[in-house]
Amino acid sequence: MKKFLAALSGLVLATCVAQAAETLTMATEATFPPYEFLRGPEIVGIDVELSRAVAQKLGKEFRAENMDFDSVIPAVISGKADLAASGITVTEDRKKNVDFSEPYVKTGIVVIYKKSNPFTGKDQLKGKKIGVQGGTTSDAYVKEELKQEPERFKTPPEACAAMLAGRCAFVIADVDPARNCVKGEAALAISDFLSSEEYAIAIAKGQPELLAAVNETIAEAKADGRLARWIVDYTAESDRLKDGGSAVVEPTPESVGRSGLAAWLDEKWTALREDFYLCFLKKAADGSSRGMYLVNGLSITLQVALASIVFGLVLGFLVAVIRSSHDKYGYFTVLNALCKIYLTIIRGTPMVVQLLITYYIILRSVESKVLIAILAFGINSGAYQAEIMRAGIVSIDPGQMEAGRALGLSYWRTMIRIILPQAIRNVLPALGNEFIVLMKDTSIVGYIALIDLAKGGDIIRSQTYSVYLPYLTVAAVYLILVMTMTWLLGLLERYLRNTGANPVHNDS
Amino acid sequence: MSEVLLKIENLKKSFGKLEVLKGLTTDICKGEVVVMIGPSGGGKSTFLRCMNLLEQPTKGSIVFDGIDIVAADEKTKNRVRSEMGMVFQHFNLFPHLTILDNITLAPRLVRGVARAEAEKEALELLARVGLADKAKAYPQQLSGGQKQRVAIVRSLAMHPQVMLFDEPTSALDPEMVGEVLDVMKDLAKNGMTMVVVTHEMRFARDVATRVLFLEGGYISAQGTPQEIFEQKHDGRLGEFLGKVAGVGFREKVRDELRDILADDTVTAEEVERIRKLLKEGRQ
Repeated sequence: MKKFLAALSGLVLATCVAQAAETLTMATEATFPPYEFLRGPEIVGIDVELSRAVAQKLGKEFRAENMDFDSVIPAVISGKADLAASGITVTEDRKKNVDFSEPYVKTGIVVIYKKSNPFTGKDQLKGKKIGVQGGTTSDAYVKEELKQEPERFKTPPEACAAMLAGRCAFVIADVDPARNCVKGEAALAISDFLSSEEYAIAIAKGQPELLAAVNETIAEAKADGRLARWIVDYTAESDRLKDGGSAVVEPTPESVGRSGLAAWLDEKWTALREDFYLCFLKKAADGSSRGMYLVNGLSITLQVALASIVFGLVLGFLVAVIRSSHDKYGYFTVLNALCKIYLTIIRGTPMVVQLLITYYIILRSVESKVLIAILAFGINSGAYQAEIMRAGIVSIDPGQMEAGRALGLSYWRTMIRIILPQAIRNVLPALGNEFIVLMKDTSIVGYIALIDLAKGGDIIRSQTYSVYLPYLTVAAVYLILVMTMTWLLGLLERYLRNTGANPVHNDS
Repeated sequence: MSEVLLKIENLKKSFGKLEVLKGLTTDICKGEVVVMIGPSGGGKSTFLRCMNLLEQPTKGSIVFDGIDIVAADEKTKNRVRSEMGMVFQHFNLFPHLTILDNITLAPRLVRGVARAEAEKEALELLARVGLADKAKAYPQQLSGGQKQRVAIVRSLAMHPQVMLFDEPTSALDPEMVGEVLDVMKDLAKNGMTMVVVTHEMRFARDVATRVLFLEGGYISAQGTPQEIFEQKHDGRLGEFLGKVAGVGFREKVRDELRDILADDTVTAEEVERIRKLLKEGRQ
């Protein structure tokens, strides 16, 4: 136990030290072209160039960190990132929590509407369902100016997709992403400014040097024309990205003339093929296809799931042995109390909250998000596995422990060689169930900006507006993973059943 | 007698408020076969389990190899247990291991014997109890008597200085009792020091060098099998022997049968007489 804890703390310590103080970290949500978006795995855009220029000015390494927009400002406050640049509008509320640089872009919010339902004036918005990106100025506008609750989506394209699907009447968004949404989407158009606003870089309070460096950088970039060039270049690139990005397929002339099922099928088949190409095969600027989001995401999902299963097993085993030893023989009074607290807290709070607390509070200085996810999920699953294994240990005839001890084996040796193999065999189905739940639970790692399988599908959806293929594919991959796992567990169960006695029968 | 192996003094054991052993003193000498008899709840099994510290005595001392093992540390206790074999009523074989692994596990882990050597010895021991062909089987594939013989071999493989038997035949079907008792007799004949809790009075009479009668948490009588079984006793011992063991009763039945079988005919009256006798004995 001590050795294990030492190793764990060593690991955490090493990760802390590994984070160089000489890195400038930028927090952003890369779904906001042209300010920030993904070019393959790389985050690029106007804000990225600006932040990189700040890093250069300070002589630091530069790193951009992709996360939900809601997390961008908290990341700066908690010290996870040095600055936040994510098309952030200056508001009085935000000023209370962070310092803002001089604005580098003036922009505003506009209404995106369907041409079939034209937008004529603000009055039209009242009482309608309005789609916005959650946590943005548009969100605040609907709440404060229109005094109603908006329909919150993770990105403007998602809101537009929802509007096209009839789930809301209008979308309000910042002008640049709005332009981007409407581009190549014949059914959509945008209005004049509802209100205008300014984007600035947010940094944690009490850092005058950093603030000065950011302001100088902005002034220089404006003066020497770099900022203007970035805006032109990245708008052009994000427009290219958007080309053909519509999921709405116009009926082809051939199919219009034909009637009946054949034409309908043909049309759907063509749409599906185009959608498939767009979602998974189309090459981005860096030459990789969007399908790579799923491939890389799958790798993250597998890493997190498998490592946390193993970590949870070790933790669960220790807790189960301590708990059952205490209940049966009165050993480990203090450790048992600690274990009970652990079980109560972990089983009494939601996994998402545990993940966020681990990321923002407990391991805020840990660099690797995969490691954070493994620890958070492992610690969570350990609690459930502990109770399952405890049930298994309790189910073993006390005579087994006595026989082991009578032969001169120590308590722990008897536990490991005699009791646990039988206990695990007895609870394998329950344990397998926990593994499956854990594997699927890892789909919430998007909350700490880790791009796993689910998040990968979400990114494809946000870039293409196509909802069916990305999500259904992600669902199918999870299903295959779970089925594979079930099959392997079945094999293991059969193998264990074939070697040795019927597990239920302990009177041997 | 010869060298004292276990020197037990004023041993007491309580479970909560219930005092099961109320101060037992006796010496177990090398080569002795001590059989403990007595009514249920008299403390026989508890006493036996205290000897290898499966139960921690509340008071008193057990001196083994020159040290008081009751007060010893955990490491010493483990070593002491490895030098005392124990055979349980319900065998307690390890169901997830083959017979061979059941036997070789402790020698390999505790005594550090190499696998090949441990297996060689295990096979020899198995052959001695007539189970050499079961080495690769799992416990569930064995009958009760076979399981108990394997359990005895498992203990023997540790080369114990003393073997403790906790009602080794009580869970067996009657036709399997004999095969286990034969192995135990064989052990006794070869000079193994044994402490046996049993209801097999015949075994006690034939094999024991000393019989202890435990009752109410005390050793209330002890002696050679002749002294215990062939003399008349008053009080609890006499009652116990008459009831459970059928001592005295056995002789009466034998005499009666001899009388009945003296001539070639068995009359209805004679059958009725023997039936009455058996009925009385069973009460």
